[in-house]
Amino acid sequence: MSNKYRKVAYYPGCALEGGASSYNRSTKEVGKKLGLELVELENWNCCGAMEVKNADPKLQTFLSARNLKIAEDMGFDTVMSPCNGCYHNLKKAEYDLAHDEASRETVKKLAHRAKTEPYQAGKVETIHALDWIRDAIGTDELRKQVRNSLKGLKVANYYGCMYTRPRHIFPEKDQGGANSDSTYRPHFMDDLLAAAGAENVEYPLKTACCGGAHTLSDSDTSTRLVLNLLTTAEACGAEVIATECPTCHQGLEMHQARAEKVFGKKTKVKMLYFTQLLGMALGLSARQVGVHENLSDSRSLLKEKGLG
Amino acid sequence: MPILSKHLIRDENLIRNENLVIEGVDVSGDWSTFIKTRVVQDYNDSLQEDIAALPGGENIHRCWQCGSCTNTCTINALNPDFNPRYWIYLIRIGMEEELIRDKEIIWQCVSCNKCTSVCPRDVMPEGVMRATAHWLELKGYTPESPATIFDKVFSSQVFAKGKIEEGRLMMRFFKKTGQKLTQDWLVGLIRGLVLRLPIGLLTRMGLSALIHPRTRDWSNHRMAIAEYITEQKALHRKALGLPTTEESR
Amino acid sequence: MNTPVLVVGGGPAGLSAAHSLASTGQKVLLVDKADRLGGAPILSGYAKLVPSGEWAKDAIGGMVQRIESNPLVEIQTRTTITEFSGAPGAFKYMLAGEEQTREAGATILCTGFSHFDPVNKPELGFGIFPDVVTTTQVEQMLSSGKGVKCLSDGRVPERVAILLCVGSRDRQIGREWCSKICCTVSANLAMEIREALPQCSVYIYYMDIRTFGLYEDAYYWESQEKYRVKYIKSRIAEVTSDGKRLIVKGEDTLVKRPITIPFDLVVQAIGMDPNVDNARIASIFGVELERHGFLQRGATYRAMGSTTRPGLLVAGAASGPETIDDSIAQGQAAAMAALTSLKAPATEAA
Ligand SMILES: Cc1cc2nc3c(=O)[nH]c(=O)nc-3n(C[C@H](O)[C@H](O)[C@H](O)COP(=O)(O)OP(=O)(O)OC[C@H]3O[C@@H](n4cnc5c(N)ncnc54)[C@H](O)[C@@H]3O)c2cc1C
Ligand code: SF4
Ligand code: SF4
Ligand code: SF4
Repeated sequence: MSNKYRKVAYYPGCALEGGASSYNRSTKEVGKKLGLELVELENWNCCGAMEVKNADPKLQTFLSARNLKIAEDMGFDTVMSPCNGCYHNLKKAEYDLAHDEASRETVKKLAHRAKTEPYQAGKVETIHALDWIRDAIGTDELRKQVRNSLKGLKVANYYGCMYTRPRHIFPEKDQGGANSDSTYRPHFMDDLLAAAGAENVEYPLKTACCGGAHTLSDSDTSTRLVLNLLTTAEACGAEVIATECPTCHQGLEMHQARAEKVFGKKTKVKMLYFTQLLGMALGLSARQVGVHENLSDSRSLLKEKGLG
Repeated sequence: MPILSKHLIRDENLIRNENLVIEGVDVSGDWSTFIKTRVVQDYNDSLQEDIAALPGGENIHRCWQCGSCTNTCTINALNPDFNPRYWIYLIRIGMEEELIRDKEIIWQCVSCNKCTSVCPRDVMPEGVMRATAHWLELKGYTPESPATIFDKVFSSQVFAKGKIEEGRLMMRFFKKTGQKLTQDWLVGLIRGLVLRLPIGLLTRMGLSALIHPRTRDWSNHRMAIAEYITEQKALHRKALGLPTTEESR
Repeated sequence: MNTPVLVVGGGPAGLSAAHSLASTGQKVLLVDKADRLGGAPILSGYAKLVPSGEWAKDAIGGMVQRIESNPLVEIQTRTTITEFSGAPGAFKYMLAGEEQTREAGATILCTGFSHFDPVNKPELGFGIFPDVVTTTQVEQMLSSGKGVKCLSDGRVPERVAILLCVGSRDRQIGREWCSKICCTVSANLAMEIREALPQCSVYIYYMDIRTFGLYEDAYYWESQEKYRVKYIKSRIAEVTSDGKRLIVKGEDTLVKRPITIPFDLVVQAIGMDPNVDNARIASIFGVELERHGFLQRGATYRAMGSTTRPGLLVAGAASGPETIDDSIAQGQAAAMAALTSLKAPATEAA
């Protein structure tokens, strides 16, 4: 256990305030259980998700810069986001502001027009919920705190696109060794869940795309991509897909249902946020980590495994 | 001789005579298959610059046609006609007509950034796809794709309120694209969810349908963004040689 | 002629510089951090060299023997330079582990390159699948006489892929140079594999083929015409496995079509990186590095082998990807420049 990241600024983002409330709930509960403090960014705004960049990438930089500035003004040097989209956009803004003059200029111009001060690169570090737990607590300490081991639960760890790509916006990754995550074969979630007792399966599609960008606008494509993720997970022997992104998670849930309804392809594998799994391993109930708030229903599997 | 790589030739360019005798030799049917010569003369020299002027397309001139983007592409794996490398080639060389043949699928890019992560020249093909889809719409070759409509509905909510509320977003999107608000598969899911939720939470969710999330003191931001968007739109249209005042769609 | 000229690095460039100097009666101190002389071809166990076809251990080994038996050359292996100062004609330096400073009239840096570490391209499977290897490893399989085999189970491969430009020409990993020799070396290895294993098919995945100069017909054409090596114009983004064999999926860009082939062995033609020591070398010797991290050359046409520090010379792959014969030529040229500067320090070397 280190003193790093024990108290960080928290940026939940729109998804966690909406449909992914269970991810928000379980993240906070796990933090509380582990004695970590989260202070929510005051009056934050949407990061722009995957959509604003299509209107104009520099506007997305501006939106994220505003959030980073809030963290700085609140006196934090670290902001944690559990949502891959938010995490990615904050990272991207940080990268663009550090490397691209045109982005700096646009953010400055917009900030002044909005009568605020622009954020400057290098002031606030953005981390994911995975970094947060892994660095603040560590796998050894986590192992000690496990009350209800995930033993016997076969898990496929799914990270999706935005946690790893494009690789240049994550300079801390790919540094080699156990303490730097890989953009090709990420393992931070695997490490945490293994410490909680889970049996991770070898899952080759860890960073494949779920089609989240077109969940609604090109549903058939998304359904095909998700179905591939689900059937591969099942073929690898997984009972649960652990997720760390609300867009992926909800995409998997929705398109699992859609694949059954529209394509007639039924899959059984369940989806749970990694924080829900960790929470239950730490002794929280299924209800405390919001399992009932997920779109898909995994309660019977959890009961069978003696979890929650 | 069989024509190798016949898939590269469009049907309309293949000629085949059912009854043909040349110098006494019967070459009817497959024996007389030949390919119409096609000479492209109307290259659009400014196509590359058009795309480079739109957000995401800035690095297109770097491409050296290695094929990494296409071979790693999520959508290419589902549909081999979705080929970022090939489109970049067409754009760079100015083969507008060829490009437009694929206008119905270019927007399908899912922004997974696999291409951008592997591209050895940092072309940012994902951005080029976005710029190209944008160009097709600006030029009037395609109506707004469902994806563009979704982006717009989403972005306008962010720009107006600072935050997104999913329920409303979905409703607006389905309405704008003329889809049923009650997609069968969604209804089933949500019904299941509602049955599981405790009353307290349900009321809270019900309330949130009335109290929409928003960022406080957002009006200055809203104005700054609106002003910027108007400027940028004018710039993009100018770069493409279009009248700078866009008729509102 | 009494103070020895300092030559740092005993690869082809350093061996050639030391030999040229000694043949004029000039004393030399040859320092190398490795436990023996010979540089990359010896330390990494290369097989038959381009373009001579001689075995590296004979050709470069011969150069080593020639130096080791030369009384004018003092050799210090497992040694580096820890301090360096002074002006042309009167440089002072210290060897690691020594208390006393030494002197040199001229100094030549022949510190060479480092092999690209393919762990930096995890998507290409090195370090994940045992049957993904590097050109260096294949060189060793051939030079050790063990033959080309799959490392997983020792089987003889039926199909081998060579991926060109791994760790070169790639902005994603900050390597914006061409390593110059790997196309030719790969064509050469492909022919050697085909000769040793006539039943084995060899495919080369390329973006461009750069068998420059006289290597064109001797390697590129010969490999296609005589050895039937197959060339596919496609850069590979990912190497996977179906549990039994390696799967290489590419886009055959010439026919705009996906091409997926299972292979027993995948060989990465790894590039030449700047020596990993270069930052340290630059600070100890007070020379500048060019933007890729190789030693910056001072002038191109007027003074062969100059660095950005007057009187300090460079030869071989230390200043950019280089072939063995060019490294040897540069070693000789730098020796000539060193002698000139010793004789007439005021005039500029030719
Ligand atoms: C797989 C492969 C195959 C190749 N095959 C061929 C071929 O067939 N034909 C061909 O022409 N070229 C070939 N090359 C290129 C060839 O290896 C180089 O041209 C050659 O090695 C360059 O010689 P050099 O003396 O400049 O450097 P090196 O061979 O790298 O020698 C540098 C020497 O300096 C020493 N050194 C490094 N740092 C220090 C320090 N700080 N202090 C003291 N000593 C130091 C090292 O120990 C080493 O002995 C091949 C390259 C590769 C990667
Ligand atoms: S990966 Fe980059 S350089 Fe290669 S074809 Fe695609 S865009 Fe062009
Ligand atoms: S971002 Fe788009 S073009 Fe690039 S790999 Fe993904 S789907 Fe293909
Ligand atoms: S020599 Fe050939 S393989 Fe080596 S970097 Fe240059 S083009 Fe690539």
